[in-house]
Amino acid sequence: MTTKRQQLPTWTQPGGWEVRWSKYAPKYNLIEDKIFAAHVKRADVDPVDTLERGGQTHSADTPDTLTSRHWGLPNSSIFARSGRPSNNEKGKYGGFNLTRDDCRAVATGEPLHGLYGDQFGEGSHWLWLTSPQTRWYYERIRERMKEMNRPDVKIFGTYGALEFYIIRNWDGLPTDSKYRQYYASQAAARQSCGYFKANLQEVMGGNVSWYPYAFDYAQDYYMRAHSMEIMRLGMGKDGMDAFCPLFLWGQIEANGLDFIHNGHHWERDLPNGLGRIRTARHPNADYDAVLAQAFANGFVRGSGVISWDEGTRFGSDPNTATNFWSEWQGRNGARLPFRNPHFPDSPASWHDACCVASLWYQSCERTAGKKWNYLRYRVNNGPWIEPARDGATILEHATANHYYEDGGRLQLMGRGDTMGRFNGNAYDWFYYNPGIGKHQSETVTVELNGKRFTQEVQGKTLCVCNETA
Amino acid sequence: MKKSKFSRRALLVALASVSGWLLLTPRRPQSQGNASGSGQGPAQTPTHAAKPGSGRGPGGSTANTVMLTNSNVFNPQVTWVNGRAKITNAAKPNIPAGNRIGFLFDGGPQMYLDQLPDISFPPYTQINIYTVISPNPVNRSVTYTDKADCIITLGAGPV
Repeated sequence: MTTKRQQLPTWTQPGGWEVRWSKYAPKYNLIEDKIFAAHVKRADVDPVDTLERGGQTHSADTPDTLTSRHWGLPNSSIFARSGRPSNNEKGKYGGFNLTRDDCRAVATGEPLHGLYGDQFGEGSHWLWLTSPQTRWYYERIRERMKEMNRPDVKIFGTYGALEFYIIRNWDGLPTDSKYRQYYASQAAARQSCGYFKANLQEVMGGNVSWYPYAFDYAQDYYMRAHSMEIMRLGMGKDGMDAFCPLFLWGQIEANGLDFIHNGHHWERDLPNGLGRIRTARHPNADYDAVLAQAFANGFVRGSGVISWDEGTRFGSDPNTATNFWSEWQGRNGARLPFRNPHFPDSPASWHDACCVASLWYQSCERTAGKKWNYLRYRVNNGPWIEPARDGATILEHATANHYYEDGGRLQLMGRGDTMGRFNGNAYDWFYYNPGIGKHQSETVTVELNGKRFTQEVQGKTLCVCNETA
Repeated sequence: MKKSKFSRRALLVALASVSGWLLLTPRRPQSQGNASGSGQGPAQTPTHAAKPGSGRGPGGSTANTVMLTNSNVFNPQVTWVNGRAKITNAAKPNIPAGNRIGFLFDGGPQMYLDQLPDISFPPYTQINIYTVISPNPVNRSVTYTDKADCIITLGAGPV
């Protein structure tokens, strides 16, 4: 028996500010038609050269001539071409008054991105995902795919739309029937959200988004895992044929009604000693949390990962800085060293975590095409934890170890999540427990096709193993 | 494409998030432990101190690195004791009357109130510490008085 446990590649620097995958990751074609879509985030790379680097299938930065390898996210403002007034004009909601012909004309004028989503929830003519206008638009896009012989185009719809089944907070315990009921069948899963009730699976795929909305995002892992399982179960046979990637942003957006970037200033001393730059940007999600979300909920449970961000391409000189939302504290009268491109204005290495997830998924190529199954496992020689018979294993993992604080507030802790698959003598499995701290670790034994494998796994840290047994 | 700081979608999601949180009332009274109210929680499946090699490897880093916001709120000091790193806060943040300070490690779920916990980490661990100051730090729906994010990436430690 041989074991290969995945380790971070040396090109990634989790403690660094720069995005490195687009320059340093190896090139390969991702297995199983999974997608890894990203922004290159560096000014010193050719976006075309970044294709297949880290398995990247679609880039936001490639030119229009490479439409099939481009991923696009048009804003609802494209509907201004119809001549209808914007939703912002008093008393007028032009977006909702768009006719079928309007929507078809606008769709006809858009490039056919290889990976196609939208931001129709934002912009001048914002629309609901379930509006007839959105459907008319995508019906025309699908017609054009046939006309132009472009079966490669993958549609994931409005990113993070509220009409997709995306759980952002548990209401009660995760094992409550309100969540569990959707595992019963495809028909049951299709009762979960507006997307299915509007039969939008007829014209588009979907997405599950993960933008952390608060500092306490550990339970987000289970929520998005459950969301992805129900979305894919509702979409296709066994949930395996449906297109539903994880749409991920590795920074933290808001805390309830408090926009959480307010009052945050990333601080960086320039290596040349000329001063300190303070930049108002969002706080970051943990690198390991991003890696686990991308691997388990993007590549294993979903159709892949879209690593989203705004499109700035950064320079690599750490003695440069941005002047946007920045405060410069120069020494001896030194002036703000603004350059364009400039060094990242907040730590951007979380992008690399998405690529590492791709790389670790690729390490499972010997078992490509086999279905991932929940595994029975034990921790520290404790009792065996069995997968749920109704498919709702992730809900039981999420609910484990919960308690009520003084005052009755529910605190969900959770336990480890593990899945695996095999092909002949090749066995691949992962384990991740967001419910304990990184100061702790567990001795984990999993059982896969009658074989047992054991690893010591740090809390909140993804473990991926490729075994030969 | 610039990310909108005050997008309509973000506001809708934030509202959904808050309303979801407010609905998060306990439905089943079978407490599984006696919580202290300070986020320490019940005894879980037994775990042990994280061992060297139990993580995902060092990546490209060999020395400790720190990236942070608002060093007036949280400014870490790393001390190695018996091959493990302990973290203390060298900053002296202003905590207004009626406020408390809370610390979340790597997304929680435990929040440690009033002081950092007595815990330590093996080499090559990355620790993301969120600090919040608020009248009620554990409540997601409040606006914080102050906050900070600190990412510490441990290197190999003393040889």
